[in-house]
Amino acid sequence: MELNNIEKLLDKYFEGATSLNEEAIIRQYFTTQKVPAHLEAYQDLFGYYAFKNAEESNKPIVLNKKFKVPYKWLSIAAMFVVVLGSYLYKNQVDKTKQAQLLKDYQTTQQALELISNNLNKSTFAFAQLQEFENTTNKIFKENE
Amino acid sequence: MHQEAFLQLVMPFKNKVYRLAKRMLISNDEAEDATQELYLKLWNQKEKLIQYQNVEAYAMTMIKNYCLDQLKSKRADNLTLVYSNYTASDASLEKTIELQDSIDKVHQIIEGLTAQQKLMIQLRDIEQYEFEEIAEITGVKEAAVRVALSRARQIVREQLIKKHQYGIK
Repeated sequence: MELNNIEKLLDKYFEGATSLNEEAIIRQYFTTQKVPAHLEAYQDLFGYYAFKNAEESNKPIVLNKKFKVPYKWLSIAAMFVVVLGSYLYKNQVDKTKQAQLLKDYQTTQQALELISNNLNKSTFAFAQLQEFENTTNKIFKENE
Repeated sequence: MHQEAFLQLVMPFKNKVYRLAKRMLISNDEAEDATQELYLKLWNQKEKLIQYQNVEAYAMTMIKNYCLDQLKSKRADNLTLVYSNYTASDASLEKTIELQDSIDKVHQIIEGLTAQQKLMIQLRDIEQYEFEEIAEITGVKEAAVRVALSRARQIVREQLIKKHQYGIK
């Protein structure tokens, strides 16, 4: 491209009168070759435009970003939670009741054991006493 | 419309959407979020999309409006606007300095333009849309688009030459 032509095109460009085709010619001229000193400033300009045109977005687009709440399944799940919850709760209550009963039973058993032990002791003592009486009776009988 | 057909229709201009969002919101992350948001909106009205002659122009209009809303809600909270503006432009400056000093130079000039001028430059000089399409996207008449664009280009030219001469001297 002749220098003269490029200068004319440039003037037209800055007046905002160039077509896209003409602008492509200017861009091509300034980004692919060495230019005369008095046009160097424009090389920066069109280099900048080319650079900015090459910029790319790095983030992939996500289309199904919003998570929809499945209300139908949510209600069914909630029902299960309630049923399971009450079952477990009842179970828990039964277990504590059972444990309490077992404890009561054991305490009663212990108490009864204690009583029977003491009772046995006293029976033994009575037996000894009886023996003592038998012997005295024997002695007193002989003396009569 | 199936997901595959939808993606074929809308994915080709994803980067254009992203770049316009970045031009308007400055921050990279916010531009990514805005792009994601726009595609969700498009997906939610996928049945309606077939009616539009130019889905791309429609999407570009939507992202432009979305970004304007974002900027408005930020402006309501003045403190965060100042703060995020500062950090965002700083971060993008750092990036461009690493890449090329000349890109940074032009970037500053463009950032100094009005919001509408920036939009025109983005749509015409970076994305290469026809005036007709730019008019559709921005809601401005075609003649007004031409005027705004040539004004923007002239400001850029003046600033560019000024900076360049300063660099030589």
